[in-house]
Order: sequence, then C-alpha cells, then structure tokens
Amino acid sequence: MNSSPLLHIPGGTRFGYRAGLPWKRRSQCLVETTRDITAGPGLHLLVAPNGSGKTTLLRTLAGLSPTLHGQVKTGARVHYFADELRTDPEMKPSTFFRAWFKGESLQTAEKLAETLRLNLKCPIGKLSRGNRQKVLLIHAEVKAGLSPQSVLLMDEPLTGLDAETREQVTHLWATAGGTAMRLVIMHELECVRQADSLLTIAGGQLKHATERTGESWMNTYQTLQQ
Amino acid sequence: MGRGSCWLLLLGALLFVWIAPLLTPWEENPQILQPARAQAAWVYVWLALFTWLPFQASALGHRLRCEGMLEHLQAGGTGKLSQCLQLSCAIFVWMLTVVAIAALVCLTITAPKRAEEAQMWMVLILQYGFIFSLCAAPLLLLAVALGTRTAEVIAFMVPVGLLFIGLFGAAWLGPILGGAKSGLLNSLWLALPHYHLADLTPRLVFKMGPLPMTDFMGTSLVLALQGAAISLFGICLFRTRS
Repeated sequence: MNSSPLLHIPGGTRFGYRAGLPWKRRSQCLVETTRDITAGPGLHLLVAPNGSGKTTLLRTLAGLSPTLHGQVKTGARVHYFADELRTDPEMKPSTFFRAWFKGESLQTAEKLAETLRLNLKCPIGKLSRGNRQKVLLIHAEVKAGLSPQSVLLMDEPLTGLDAETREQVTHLWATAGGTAMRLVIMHELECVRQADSLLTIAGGQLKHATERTGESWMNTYQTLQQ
Repeated sequence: MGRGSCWLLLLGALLFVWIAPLLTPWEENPQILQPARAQAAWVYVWLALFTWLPFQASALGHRLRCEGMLEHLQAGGTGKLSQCLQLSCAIFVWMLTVVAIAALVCLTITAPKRAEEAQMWMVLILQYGFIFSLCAAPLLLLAVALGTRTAEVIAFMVPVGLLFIGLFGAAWLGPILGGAKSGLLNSLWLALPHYHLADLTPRLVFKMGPLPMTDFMGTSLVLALQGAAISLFGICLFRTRS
C-alpha cells in the first residue's frame, strides 16, 4: 500500500530517556536510526526482544516523550493506545463506546463488538484480559475511521486474545484499507499473513523491511535480527 | 468520580438543610428556624468544599493519569492546559450545583417577606455564590492537578489545608502577622490565603444586607488574584505521563 508517508523518522534520530537529577541528567539511548525511515497508510509491525525500547520508541512517536536527538514527523492525527485498557471497572463497554462515539461511529463500534464476540453489557472490570483488549481494539479502529488520516500507535494490542480473534483482528487490519497507518508492537508474528512493513530493533538500531523475505514475516524478522 | 455519591451529595444538601436546624432549640423561638436553614445551606457548601469536592477532584486527576487516558488524549492533540481545564470543569459542575442548591434554598424557603429586604437578601445570595465560586474553583483545579502528580491523599490535603488556613487560620494569625512591624511578617500575612473574606454566612444569619459595592469588588479582586496564583501553580503541576 503506497501513498504519502504519514511517519518520517530521519536518520540519526535517537530514542531513549533522560535519568537522574535535573542538574546532572544523563541520556540513555535505547534506539537509533541510521537511515531515514518512512511509513504510509497500512499495517506496520514493530517486533523486537523484550526491553529493547519498543514502548519508549512508540511513546516518542506519539509525542509523549521527547527524542534525544532529531525530530520525528507525523503527517496525521496520532492515536496512542497503551498495552492495556485501564478505565473505570464499573463501566460497561456499551457505556464506554457511547462516551466516545455517536451516530454512525457508535454503530460501527457495536458491529465490531458483535464480530469479535464482545459482551457489551458486562462491566469492563469483570471482563477477561482478552475481552478488555477487544474493547481497546474496537476503540482504536473506530477512532481511526473518524479522522481523514490517522496514525494508530498500539502497544501489544493482541496480548491475551485467543488465536481465532488474533486472526480476525490481523485480517481486519490488513483488509481495512483506508488512510490509516497502524504501527503495532506485537510478538505474535505467526498470525500475520499480510502487512506492509516490519520494523525491528537489533543492537540498538531501528531496522525497517518493506518487503517480506522468506515465507513469513517471522523469517524477515529473523533476517533483520542477524 | 463515584456516580452514586454525586447524587448523594445533592440529596445530602437538602436533608442537611431540613434536619440540621431542627437540632437547635428552635421551639423556644421559631423565628430562628429561617436564618438557621440559610446558615445550614451554606455550611453544607463549605463542608462539601472541605471533603467531597477536593476528594473527587484529586481522585479524578489521579485515576485518569494512572489509567493512561491523559496520555491518550495528549497524543491525540488535546493539550495539557485544555485537559486540566476540562477535568476541573467536571468538578466545577458539582460545586456550582451545590452552590445553586444553597442559593435556591435561600431564595425560596428562607427569603424574607418584605420586598425591600427580599431584594437585599437576593443580592447578598448572588454575591455569596460568586465569591464562594471564586474561592472554590482554583482549589479544585489545584486538587485535580496535584492528583495527576502525587498520591491522592496529598492532592486532597493540600487544597484542604489551604482552605483551612484561609478560613480559620487568618483569624488567629491576623492579629499577630497583620499588625506586626516587621515587613517579613506583613508579607507573610499578605501571602496567606484569605478565604475568610468569602464567608458571608454571618451577614445572612444576622440579616446585615449585601456587601457594599466597593467591599465586594475589593474582596472579589483579592480572591481572584489569589485564585489566579493557585490556578497557575496547578496548571504547572498538571502531568499526563502515566
């Protein structure tokens, strides 16, 4: 899927955090780009080992943390979704969606809930982790449809989902089309059949593959990690 | 915000206005019942500002920050200032509702019969409502902002402490600090919150009429400046990072 880039990370951009007291603060770089990285609408996977800086990278792209060096450009409305839905446990998914959406968007959310077999009447606090993730995923998808162009940054949204739902969700992402760019942190590569690119962090460097090497994205990931 | 407790707060206002005056020896002089109800209505408003309102404000700020909702909104383009004001407005609605209930009680049940007195009574109630809101709004904003940065207990205690000092502490510290020759002590007196200026309950109880316009403007200015300083402090403290 090729069109104007919604995300541009110039080469030399460094991601990480600053630690220590204000007068002797030191920078801890976790991820660095050696060449320009651009991504347009479609599904982009961010796969890397634990503790390599995926969440820090995603938060920086969302504008929640500053870069250590360089500047990231996003050409659309950014929606950041943390790894878990944390909200009023007494609230029901139906109330949650009504609070965020109305009219056609609300209908889309309800339709998606039906497709993913989510009980809209059960309080969020009583839902299983997987079902809470479904609420988050529906929220993300409907929000993406509200803006003419949007960048969805999702941190491990598939965690806790059963295999069938994972397949459903990745298929939905792949076939959604439209103008949204989805950058998704995930570990469940086996369920992804179709994606537009894969990003990974190897040795502190952000690597980007726009084409699949081998039979699956897992092969691509392994190649990039070498 | 506990949805049930919001409605209990409003129901509590009506019950308090009804029951509290009956605990006085009103049978000996039934005439005291009317001003006692007005007093009870405003005492309840102050009690809410000491307890439920800052508690809900601090809990709201703390919860939404921990849940990551503030981050989500910030990434979506809603700035910190806008978030801080929107969250505070969610609490202001309830503060203003409690004030409206007190004003309504005073303007209906306890209003004087004579037209001239009733008009003065109405002006006083409007002044009270305005001045109280000037005092309460910045404190609630501070509670919300502190809630996003620290523990709920601290976020609750700081505005309540400021309110306590401003409402009662000034009466004890005034003679010591206000009349002192030392410039430092005088400055300290000026820097203290002066919420005692916002308490017009004695004027209601003793039917002293509204504040003269110059006094009203002076009080409003002092509370507005004080509120602006507290609000700025609160906005600086507001944090979205979960």
